Amino acid sequence: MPDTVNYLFFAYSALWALIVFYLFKLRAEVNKFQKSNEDGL
Amino acid sequence: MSEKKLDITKKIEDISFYLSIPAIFISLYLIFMWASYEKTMGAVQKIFYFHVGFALSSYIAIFILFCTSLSYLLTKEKIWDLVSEVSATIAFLLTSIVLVTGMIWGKAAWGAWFNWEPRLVSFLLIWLMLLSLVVMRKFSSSNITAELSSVLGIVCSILTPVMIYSIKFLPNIMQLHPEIERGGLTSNMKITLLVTTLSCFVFTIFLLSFSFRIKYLKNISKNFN
Repeated sequence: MPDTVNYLFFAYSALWALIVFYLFKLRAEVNKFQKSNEDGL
Repeated sequence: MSEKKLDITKKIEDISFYLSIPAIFISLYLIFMWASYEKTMGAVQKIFYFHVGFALSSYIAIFILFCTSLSYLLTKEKIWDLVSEVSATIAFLLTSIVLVTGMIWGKAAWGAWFNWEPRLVSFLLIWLMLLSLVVMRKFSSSNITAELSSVLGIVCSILTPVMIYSIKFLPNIMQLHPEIERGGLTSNMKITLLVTTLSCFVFTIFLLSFSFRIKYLKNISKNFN
């Protein structure tokens, strides 16, 4: 049982790291879009 | 809305994003490495922390949906409609997570994915209402979509306290929700639950502010082109 829980901890941490990485990329794109929008206006 | 207000939204988004990154990691550590095992359910019970955390966070999104839907109906200002749309989408996402984690937990604890129990049925009803809100926003091109969505948002929000208190209104014989939810937690379980719930709150605030910024920028560029 403790082994399974350890694996689950690492699996969920990896999943959260992936989500954070994707959110960083998405936020960078949105920031770029906002900047170009402000410059355009 | 002025650029200054959009900057404030971005600041809230930044703070909540950078707070939620370590907060969720700490929550995962506490859940899997620190919190003790529940006697009868064992490791499966660990799903409970995120299940409860996201359930409570979904109530925040639903509360914002109620306030903004009502504000839109009273003032007809576009900004309330935008916030209402965003909060409905996030509430739908969170309630979906709660349903899925609840079903996994239910299968392990009660031996069934779903039961016709008051809280589960009322929660499913709220989820279906949020689904219809999201679908209506996506596909309806009518002029009164915003008004209809606001009314549906208010009805959905009013149903939420009924769902929350269904455990208290109805006799115990009709309930399946485990005893643990009613105060059978050890102290390390309580701390883990508190930290996880706070992490979920912070992440929900991030999701709401980030989605709002995207929606607002999309709206500006659509009006501008």
